[in-house]
Amino acid sequence: MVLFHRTTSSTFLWYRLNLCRYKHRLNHPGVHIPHGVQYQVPYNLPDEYTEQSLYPPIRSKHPPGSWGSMESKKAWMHFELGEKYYRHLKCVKERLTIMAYQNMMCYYDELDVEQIDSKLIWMLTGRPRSPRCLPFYKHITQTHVTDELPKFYEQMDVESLLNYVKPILIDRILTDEYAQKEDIPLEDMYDKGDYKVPSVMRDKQLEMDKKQTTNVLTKMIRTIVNVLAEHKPYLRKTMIGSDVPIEAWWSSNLNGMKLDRAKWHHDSNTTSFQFRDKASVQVKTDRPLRSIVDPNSTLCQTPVPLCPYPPPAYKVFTDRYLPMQIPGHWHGEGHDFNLLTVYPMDSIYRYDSYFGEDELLPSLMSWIVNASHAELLAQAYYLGFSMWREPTYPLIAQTILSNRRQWIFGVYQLNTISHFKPHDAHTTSNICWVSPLMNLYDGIENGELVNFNDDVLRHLLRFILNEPTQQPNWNLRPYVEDITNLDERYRKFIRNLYEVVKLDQQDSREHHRWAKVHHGTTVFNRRYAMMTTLFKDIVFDNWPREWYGRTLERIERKKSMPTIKEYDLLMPVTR
Amino acid sequence: MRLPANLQYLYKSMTPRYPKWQPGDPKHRIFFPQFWMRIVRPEENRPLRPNVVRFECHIEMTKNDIKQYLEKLYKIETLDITTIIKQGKENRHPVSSEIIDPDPDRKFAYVFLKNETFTYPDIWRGQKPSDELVKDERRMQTASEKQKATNLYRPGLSTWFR
Repeated sequence: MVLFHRTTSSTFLWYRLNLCRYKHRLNHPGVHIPHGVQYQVPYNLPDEYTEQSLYPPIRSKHPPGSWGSMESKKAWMHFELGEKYYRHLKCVKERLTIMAYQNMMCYYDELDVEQIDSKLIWMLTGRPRSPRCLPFYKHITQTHVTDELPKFYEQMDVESLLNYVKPILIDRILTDEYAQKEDIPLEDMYDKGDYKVPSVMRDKQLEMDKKQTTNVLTKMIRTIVNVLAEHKPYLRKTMIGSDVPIEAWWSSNLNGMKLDRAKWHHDSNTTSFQFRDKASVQVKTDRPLRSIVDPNSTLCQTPVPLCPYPPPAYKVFTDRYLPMQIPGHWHGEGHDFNLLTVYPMDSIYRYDSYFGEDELLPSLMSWIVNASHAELLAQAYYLGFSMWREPTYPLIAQTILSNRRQWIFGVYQLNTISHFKPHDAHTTSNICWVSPLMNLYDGIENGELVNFNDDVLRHLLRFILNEPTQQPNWNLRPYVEDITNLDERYRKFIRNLYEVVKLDQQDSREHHRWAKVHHGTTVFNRRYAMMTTLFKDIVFDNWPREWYGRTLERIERKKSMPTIKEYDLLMPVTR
Repeated sequence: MRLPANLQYLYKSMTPRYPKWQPGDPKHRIFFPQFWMRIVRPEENRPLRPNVVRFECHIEMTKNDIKQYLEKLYKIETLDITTIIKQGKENRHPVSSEIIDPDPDRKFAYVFLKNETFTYPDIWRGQKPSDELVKDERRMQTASEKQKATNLYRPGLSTWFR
């Protein structure tokens, strides 16, 4: 006779409060709530009785916009969240810090030690780790992918400039190939050389190759831009950067899938993703690129097929990271739009992820989709749009993946950002056009390039000569208010808050996953608390309670506790 | 836990410990290695793609070993292999909390097949033996409840008969 004994697993963390040494530090008497207490605000109803009963207005089932099959309470919660963001936070910098702060969690572990850490997010990289994962990336980013570049590029006449630029470029490439002399790293100098571990050697070779590609590509693009700048004035105002970090955070709906981790705390049916990669070259401009397809056309209106498998099936794993949005620059540095981004493709061939010739093109396509979507998402956040406010005009990105020898071009149009809505609520989708894989040259022999391909150069020139709209007659930043009306102290507060996000060190987790590094991760919370306490008058006046932080909450609770005997008369009678 | 060889199943024993390989020695050849693989049901909360199979294998097999095992013995082409070692639970004595009867560590491999699909077949045809145990328990519970009900409503019966 066997008795079934099933242990009930509780999803909430029960903090052992009887034996907790830090009882005095709990943020609520008797229970520790990681996100702070939501105090009920007493209704502002009149003191006198009325003859007719007063009811609040009846809300429609879903807020304005398409929400599909989402529950009405959740939909209204999301809508009110968006309203809160846009009502209280005037500047993009504040919004970014609040988004980062909302992912932090404070809890007490088994040894009653306070742990402040960011919640888990699914970390996406540029290079896909598993084969045939294009459907997954398409589902996450809501894109349709086509096999060729849009027709509008073929209308550009590029022949004269091509013949002008070609010899200069060939010269440049050859000089860079032959003039690479790197200093021998210190550990190799003292190496006897009798046995070299192959994996370590491969990694070192990959690093060197990556550095060389970044150098060669920056030089190539700089020469082209400098040569063409005398004919095209908009190229004179561009900024060119190398080794550029690109990061983006978004939350997407689970559509009924059951996942235990990496949930966005606002809605337990959603998970959050963070893309993180480094681009070798980026060319930035002031003005947006022309849109290629009208967002209301049938191509954008068709839904993207659902992918029923969770992220671990595609080797995408969670990590504790602060949600960051970096489209290649920090907010406030100007040049909000990107003309061109180039990524180094060497890692496709080196690691175990080289699955074969057949699987190469789809992995490159998924890399392009991922990278351009992330870049545009971060750009959209910097321009004032967010998951609650769709971009009013489509954003375009041009990406290239290059190996110095092999090139692949991609164009991406971003129409929607609201991935947190369920699958049937999506009206528009994003589109990506990808060119086939081409070789610029087959090899280098005797100081000459073998089989130089002009098509690659043509595509590259077309991308660079794609002039952005110089006088856009629509509002580029509709949801951002002018902050020159605010006083200097408020502006200082905004700037300091954003510095807290910038300073957060995220690379301290490269060692073993089980070792918690407190000095790397609790700094954001502490700095955030310090900044909000220094400017607590601004925070108390303008922000709702959820964004205060634990220290301010304690201060505010002390402030709002009545000190007089007649405290019961402070509350209105109708409550 | 990683138990010593005399306490593990024979098929889980370690390969013999050869002397350390120094650079310059001939290539390390192992004859009759303790390599085995077994198909295993996918986990409940981790649905797999149709091309992916979950195997359990000898803990000393590497990804390359698994790839060659499948390609040379069974002629199955693979694209990608992920291995993970799940540590076995260290069962402790309820009173002295000393480690007693630890479960051994197990290695699982998720293999991505190139040209084939595989789904783990439904062996029990919807009826698991554990379901019968649950039914038995429910039957016993209802019987005991009925008995209790009859005992409660007997007036004149003293409390020590319930």
